[in-house]
Amino acid sequence: MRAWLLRRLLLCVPTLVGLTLVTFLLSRLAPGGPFASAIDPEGASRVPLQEIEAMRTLLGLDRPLSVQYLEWLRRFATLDFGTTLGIAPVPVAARVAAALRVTFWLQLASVTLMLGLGVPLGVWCAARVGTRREKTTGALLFLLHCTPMLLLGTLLMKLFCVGPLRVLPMIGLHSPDAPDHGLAGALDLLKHATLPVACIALAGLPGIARFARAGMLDELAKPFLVAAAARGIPERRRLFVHALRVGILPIVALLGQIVPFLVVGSVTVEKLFSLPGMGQLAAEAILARDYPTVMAVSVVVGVAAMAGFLLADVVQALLDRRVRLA
Amino acid sequence: MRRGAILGAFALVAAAALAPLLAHELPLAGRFGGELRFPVLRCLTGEDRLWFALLAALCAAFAGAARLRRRSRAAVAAPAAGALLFALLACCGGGRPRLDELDWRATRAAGRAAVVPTPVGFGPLESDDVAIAAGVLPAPPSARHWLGTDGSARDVAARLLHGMRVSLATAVAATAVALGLGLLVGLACGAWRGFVDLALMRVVEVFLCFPQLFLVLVVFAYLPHGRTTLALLLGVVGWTTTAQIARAEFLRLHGEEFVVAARALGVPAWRLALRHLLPNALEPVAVAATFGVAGALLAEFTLSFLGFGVPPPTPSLGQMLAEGKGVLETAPWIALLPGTVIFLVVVAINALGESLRRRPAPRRRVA
Amino acid sequence: MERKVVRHGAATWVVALAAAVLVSRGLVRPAPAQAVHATSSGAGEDVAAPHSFAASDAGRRSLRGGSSEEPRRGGTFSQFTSAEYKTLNNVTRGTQPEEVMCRLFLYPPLIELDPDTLELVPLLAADHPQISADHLRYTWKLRPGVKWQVGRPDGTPVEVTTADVEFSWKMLSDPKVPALSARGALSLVKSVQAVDRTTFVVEVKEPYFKAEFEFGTNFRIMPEHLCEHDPAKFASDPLGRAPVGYGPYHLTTWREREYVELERNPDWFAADKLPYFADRLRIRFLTDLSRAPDLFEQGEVALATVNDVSRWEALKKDARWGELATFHEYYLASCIYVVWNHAHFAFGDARVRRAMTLLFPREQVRDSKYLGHAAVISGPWPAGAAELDPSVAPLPFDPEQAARLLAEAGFADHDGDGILDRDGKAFRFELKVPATTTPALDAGNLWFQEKLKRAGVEMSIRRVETSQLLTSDLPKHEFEGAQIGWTGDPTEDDLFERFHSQSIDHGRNYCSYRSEECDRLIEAWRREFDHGKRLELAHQLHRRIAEDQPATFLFNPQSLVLATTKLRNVKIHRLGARWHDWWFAAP
Repeated sequence: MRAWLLRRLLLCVPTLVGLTLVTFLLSRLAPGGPFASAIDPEGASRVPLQEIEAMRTLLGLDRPLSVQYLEWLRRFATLDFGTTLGIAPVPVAARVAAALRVTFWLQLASVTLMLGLGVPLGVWCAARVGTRREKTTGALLFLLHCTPMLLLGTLLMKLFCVGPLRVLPMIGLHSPDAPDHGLAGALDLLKHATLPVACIALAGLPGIARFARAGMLDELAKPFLVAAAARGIPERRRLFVHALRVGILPIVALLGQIVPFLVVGSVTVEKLFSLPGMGQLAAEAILARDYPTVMAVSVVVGVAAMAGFLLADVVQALLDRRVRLA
Repeated sequence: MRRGAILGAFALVAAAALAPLLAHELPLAGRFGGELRFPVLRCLTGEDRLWFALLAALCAAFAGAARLRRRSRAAVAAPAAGALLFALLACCGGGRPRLDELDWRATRAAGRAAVVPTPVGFGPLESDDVAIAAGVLPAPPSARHWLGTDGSARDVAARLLHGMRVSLATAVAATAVALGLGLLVGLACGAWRGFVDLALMRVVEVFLCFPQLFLVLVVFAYLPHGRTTLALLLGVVGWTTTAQIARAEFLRLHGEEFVVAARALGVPAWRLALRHLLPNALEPVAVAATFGVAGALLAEFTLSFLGFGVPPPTPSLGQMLAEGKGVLETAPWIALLPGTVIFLVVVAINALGESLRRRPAPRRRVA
Repeated sequence: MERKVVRHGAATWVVALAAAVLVSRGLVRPAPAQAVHATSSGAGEDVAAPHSFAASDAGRRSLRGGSSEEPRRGGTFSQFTSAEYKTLNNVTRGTQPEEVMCRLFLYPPLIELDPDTLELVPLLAADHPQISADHLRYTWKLRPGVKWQVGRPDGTPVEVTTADVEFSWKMLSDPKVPALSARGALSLVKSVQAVDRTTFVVEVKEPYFKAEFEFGTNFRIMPEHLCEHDPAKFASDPLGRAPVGYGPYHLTTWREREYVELERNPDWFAADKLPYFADRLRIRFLTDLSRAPDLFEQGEVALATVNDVSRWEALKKDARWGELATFHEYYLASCIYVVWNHAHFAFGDARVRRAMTLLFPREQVRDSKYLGHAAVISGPWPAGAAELDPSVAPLPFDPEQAARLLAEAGFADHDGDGILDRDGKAFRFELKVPATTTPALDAGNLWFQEKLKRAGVEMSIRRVETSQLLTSDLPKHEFEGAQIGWTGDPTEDDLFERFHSQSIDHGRNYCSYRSEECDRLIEAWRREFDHGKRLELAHQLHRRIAEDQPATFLFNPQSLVLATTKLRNVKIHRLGARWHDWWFAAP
């Protein structure tokens, strides 16, 4: 087991390096460059092209790509992510850390809600498969699944922020009027976070429920459960103790995708609710060709993804001995 | 259940194929100055004909299946007739519209022709001058435009029909690309294992991690902005799921007795993969593929929202949704209608996938 | 047992359906029954007069009340902006929102435009500069007694002096400092030298009638006693995040990527000219601009811009909104136009370009998409600008004339494929459109595409990322047609940037337009110091450009702004929604 774990960890290194290389190449291949923000799209500021070329030379952006990549790799080895590219250089690590804090907690709450509601729902659907109630629930979940997250978010916003029930704030994470600390501050944060968390959770709920249901359905047909029922074990115990242990495996496999999701966030939701998260940071950095930030984000996402895969593999191996052979 | 799913999928293909007959800027038939013409049929494009051919093939398959199962004569004859009809339709086309056909409303008003227009009456690319003159854009549903118009005075019903066709074709093409790549990779992992498996899994992980927005930007900067590029891009973005599923299936199958036996008999790796592993692994992959089509549809919507979807003026469901989001308060039908169609399409596709999963086919084929 | 289950199922569906209907009723407001038809207004009409009166009684009430009430200090003025500030370092800042923040609130410049008369009013400068006879040396005097918000570490206040001026100029011109925008704006300045504590001399490279305005409004000052003196570290100076200024407001809070809060400066030296009655200013960063009216309705912002014209019309008709807001529609100096690459085989010919303008259905777009809230322009100046020659009207939509011009230029359908061609080359081109284009322009481009198709020209529309368009495609002339927006100078725009042949390689002359007559007129304009003669040159230039059509000028869209009814004395100035003289009513 330990050898297997060590091997898996070692395998992460080439993936990380490969990831950074691919991101680096792609980011340089995309035409256009940084300092586009210096050229106001409306043409109000007059920046001649030579200025931009001179700035590129100053920052070393016209050196050969291999040199630039190796330079970045060398600094990355010392965990130095550099400063952002542009008019106002700030340390990348601080910016990414701030955005990561926001995204991580929001996504964690959403995923907890998603799993907490989705798995029992899926199990219940599997147990009651074929009944009208299950069919109705399945249909409603499907409707939810097909609604694009953007429309879902917009509808939620209209319902709770602007419409008849005006209870929740619309954008951002903090109200300028509300205090920062203490119970009132926490309550304010909670109010701001409710809609984004609900939006993401609702968007992911049908998928989780479907996976849980599929996994459970396979299990419920097995003879050992019929035997358990014959022995008189109550349904809830049969479902959640005996069947779930194997039925949960598809969800565990999903963990590998959930962990990076915790870090990447959702650009759509963040744009809609003006949240200062990783998704927005990444999208803005890409559009502004802020290469150091893009590389840092890619590294963070890569590490999270690797952690996710590893976690999924480990949990699967622990739960299902058959998998350990592969 | 399975019959319903298959019928649903058939209805999708039929709606997509029949779109030009239901909504076209030219009339279906008309007597222009004494001469009987069929403008729509004459001006069918290559894509229209392909869809008709596909529909004909499906009908033929139904007829064949009915014949094999010894159903009643009517059950065989009806699909067969349909197949013949659509095959004939697929042979038409290739002509160019004439001016009096393009302006058929004016020609009709002037009394120079008697025409039978398509049911919807408008094409997907046609902006209606009457709606523009009326001033309210997007126009709400009315007698002239059954589902209203969009912000550029184009009929929504026509765009929905043709958009569904475009989105479906793009999603299917993307899934085909994803399937091909994924199967290849999964096969390689399953057949050769060892180092190849390790290396390819690293590639899959890299693919899953890097910012895909960059890939989108780069691809659209260098390649021509069209539906093929879009399908290619969506396929390249989505192949990892298929690869993982295929790989998992192949690895599982390796423990099975028939594989051990085959290897003991000295069957070479490629033959083992193609003739023995692939047919058995197809089932979960096929299920994943159907869900992949639905995923590609929704991914197309996200890309359209960024401005990188199907280039205008070709309609697509994702594009209509993106446009509708901007006018949600004043013209909700523009977003809700494509949303409903996407929902129905995904329902049909998922039902197909579910039915494939539950098929009681023999799980082992020791060919 | 069976029937119970059936009723259950049916009941669920009924409840769900009813809920859906109720929810949609509450969420969806009915579309306007009839659109507002605007009477067509040509460029000759004077539409520059600020139009600011609300359509509702409540709006008129608030405006009438303003004149008789006493101004009241207090309140929090909240607005939103679409992009977060990258930095508020006055020397390195580059984007429009940053400019507004620094120029209006933190670091008022030496000279500013009067919001109504557009005259130059000295702010930080004590008076207008003394100009030498050859118009090459400008002697400026700083107003004495203007204190920086933060003084020396021991607490003594520091005044704005020429030490700050020289330091700022040194930083500005150092190539290691990324002050791209500043250097671009002050490209005409040769040197800045201090004479004494409050006097300094500016030398320019050549005589230019706008030199006083350009230098006065664009020169940026940073506190010499607090800033980083090393040019390599200047851009990352923490003052960029916590600016120290001398303007009407001081920055107190900057919550990253969320909002910025400022507090009134009690020592604001120009309180007689620009009072700024609000105690606090709050600017929120809003990434999804279509939520602006919702934010306004919630009461989160006092001023909101509405981008969607049909939403604007719907709000105007809503009685509830008449109580909430006053509606303001006005024109700013922004234009949208299509640049043609004159190196393209077809667009080098002025007749072809004229045909393109004749085929763009501008009136149709204005009436049905902008609902009248835009003006069709005939030249590269906004509607109602003085530079426009009143005798030049925008070209009408005329496909027949366009067809004649194309035929004259040698285009005909020789191979019968429905597309015009000349010398074997088919007339096809690609129009590049920035990704941030509006739905109105989307519709306009589509209709343009259709009209072109009927005329035998094939146009494909390609959406390009804005960054790529601006930094790569346009400057390198790698395009065939491109649609861009331009915010010009509200005072006078001499077109040197966009239409002089010198600007092809180094400036914004993206179309590669070369015309000796235009070059001559522009150069003469820049050297002319008499206002009347300049206007005469401008009119000549306008006539030349209208004849040549180097670009197809489309629209000058209106700005649509909501202001809360809690504000008094709300009026829209020539320069837009400047709120220095608005105040909040007593609660």
